[in-house]
Amino acid sequence: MSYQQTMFDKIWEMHLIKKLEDQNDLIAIDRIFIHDVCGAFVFKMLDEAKTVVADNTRIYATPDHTPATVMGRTGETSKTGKRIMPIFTEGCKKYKIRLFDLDDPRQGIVHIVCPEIGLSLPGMTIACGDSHTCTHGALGTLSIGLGTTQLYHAMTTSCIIAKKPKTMRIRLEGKRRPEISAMDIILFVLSKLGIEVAVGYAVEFSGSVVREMSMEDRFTLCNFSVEMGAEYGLISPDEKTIDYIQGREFAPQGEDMDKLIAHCHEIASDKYSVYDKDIVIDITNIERQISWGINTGQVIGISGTIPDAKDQKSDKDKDSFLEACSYMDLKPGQNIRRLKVDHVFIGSCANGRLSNLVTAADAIKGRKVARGVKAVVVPGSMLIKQAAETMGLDKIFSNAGFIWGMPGCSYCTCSNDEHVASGSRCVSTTNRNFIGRQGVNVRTHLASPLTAVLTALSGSIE
Amino acid sequence: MKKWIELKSIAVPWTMPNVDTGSIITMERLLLNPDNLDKYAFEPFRYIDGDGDKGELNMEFPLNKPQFRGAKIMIVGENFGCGSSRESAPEAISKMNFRCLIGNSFGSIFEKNCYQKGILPIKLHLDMIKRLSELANNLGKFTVDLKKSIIITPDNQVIDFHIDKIQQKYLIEGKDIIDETLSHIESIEHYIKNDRINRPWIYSTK
Repeated sequence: MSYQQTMFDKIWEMHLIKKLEDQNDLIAIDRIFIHDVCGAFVFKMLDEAKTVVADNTRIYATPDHTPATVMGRTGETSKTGKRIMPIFTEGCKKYKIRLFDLDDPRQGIVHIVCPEIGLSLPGMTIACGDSHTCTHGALGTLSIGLGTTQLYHAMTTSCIIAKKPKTMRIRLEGKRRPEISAMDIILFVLSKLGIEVAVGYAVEFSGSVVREMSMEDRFTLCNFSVEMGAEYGLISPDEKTIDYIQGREFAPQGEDMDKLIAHCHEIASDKYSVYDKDIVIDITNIERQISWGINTGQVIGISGTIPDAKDQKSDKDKDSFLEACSYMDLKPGQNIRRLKVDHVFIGSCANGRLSNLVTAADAIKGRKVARGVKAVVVPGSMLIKQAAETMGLDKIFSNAGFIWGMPGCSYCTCSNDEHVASGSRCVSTTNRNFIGRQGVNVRTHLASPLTAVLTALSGSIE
Repeated sequence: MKKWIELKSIAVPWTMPNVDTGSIITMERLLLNPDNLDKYAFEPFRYIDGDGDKGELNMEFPLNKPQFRGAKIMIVGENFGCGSSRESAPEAISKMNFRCLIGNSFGSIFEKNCYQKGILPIKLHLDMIKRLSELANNLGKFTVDLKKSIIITPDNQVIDFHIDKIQQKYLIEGKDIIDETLSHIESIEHYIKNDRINRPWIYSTK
């Protein structure tokens, strides 16, 4: 048998420029994506250093964090946008970076836009100043989130200095029930493995469940890699990956596409490759999942109850558990179902894709959002918004009492003056339920688009 | 970046697990109050009602306790700095005059960002964290020696810690790691020249 290698090891080796001291590697970066917030910060650094970017033809930008998502918005509708957007757009102009601005039909959340228009491609190394850059790994890329200084480093040198992480495989097996989404599956995985399981690892998702998943669902899965502590999350490219990339605006064509397809087969994980850690999770018969606490590992089934302090494995879990009960205003043994909510949000780089919106709209079935609930749907990109409107989804949402928004991060990062009202309870299809994430004392419950819609319609968790 | 070689200070223990970078500095503050990150650092914990503008300190929060004033070392809980990649998080900690975090594990992006802001993140075993927290509560002085990569505890025990050699060099010199990369510019150019032939689609986007 020939030498068996994981996809991660192959892509890493292909991008290794030089080995440096103390096991650091100089790794080539193929593409850099920037959004308004990391862009504004990195442009300031570039300005101060009076330096140039190494290759502006491999850097792309779109605003998503600070623009308001209300209809008729401009970059300056929000206070934060007013401050950040001019620095961002000026920087893109100054450093000649291709920008999909608010008036561009491709604008949207950077982790949705770049795969969608064919800028993220299998085998690439991708850097972005955002922790959810791991999302692009669903296409078989090594994609890493960086802070401002490291992003500045990547922009000025087209490479990063990094230590190779260990590899972990999470094989998802079993048969999923029809109502179970990728969001339910990844929340279930987090509830089983915890939020630190992958610190120091690159995580590859595989198994029959992943093979059967659509590309859109695979993005949701990889989006959460960082929530388990991983720097990289990835899925080995297969026929679905190859189908997905073809015909996208910036994807190669003709002979170059043929070469890329051959490359996909080349970089795929070998059948017998060995991982530093190998985990199998059976998702047969799992029910819909929802977070009850203040981190993404504090998750239960929709028919479940808040766990008990004595069931916590370690001191750390116990501390976190007590803090969670207090912040979320919940008691052990309490049902999660029927808990009254004030706000529902559907969108984000986790669950703002077309199939998520279709699932959500299908669940409405002519009903209305419950009184007293503010329910908002924000498509992940302009292309998704347009496709959804062509299908009439916006009407279905509006008629039911949902607010239909313009693409952006919106109530996930709450960096555009859109906060959930202080002290309220919110069911959200996003990826973080940390203290204060959606607003002061806001209690966030992460769940799938289906659970979010059912909750909005009934006024309590459903 | 502030360079440093040795640090002598009391340490403040705050070992809540899973403190995320968004609680270290909220998105709104880093965007609207970038010049006052020290004031708004740890806002949800540090102030009553989580509101730094009202400014009423939560005296239960260890960083607010008078006996720990002036501490340059913080002993932190597991998975400290998980979540968002915002570099404003270590920046806010640096602006509060901390230079060293001692914990069992850190969010991986945060850990790298710390070095960019002159903060040394030290990883030790949980038992050791517990012991150091007790010593810190007794207000003993710790010494952190970056060159020798050791901590000297108030009761004179010497503890080794691991630090990446490149990070150590650049922290001591207070320099930007970019100089290291640019010293390999020929290798980088050589790589790109070959890669253009092997993977033309990377370089041919319209």
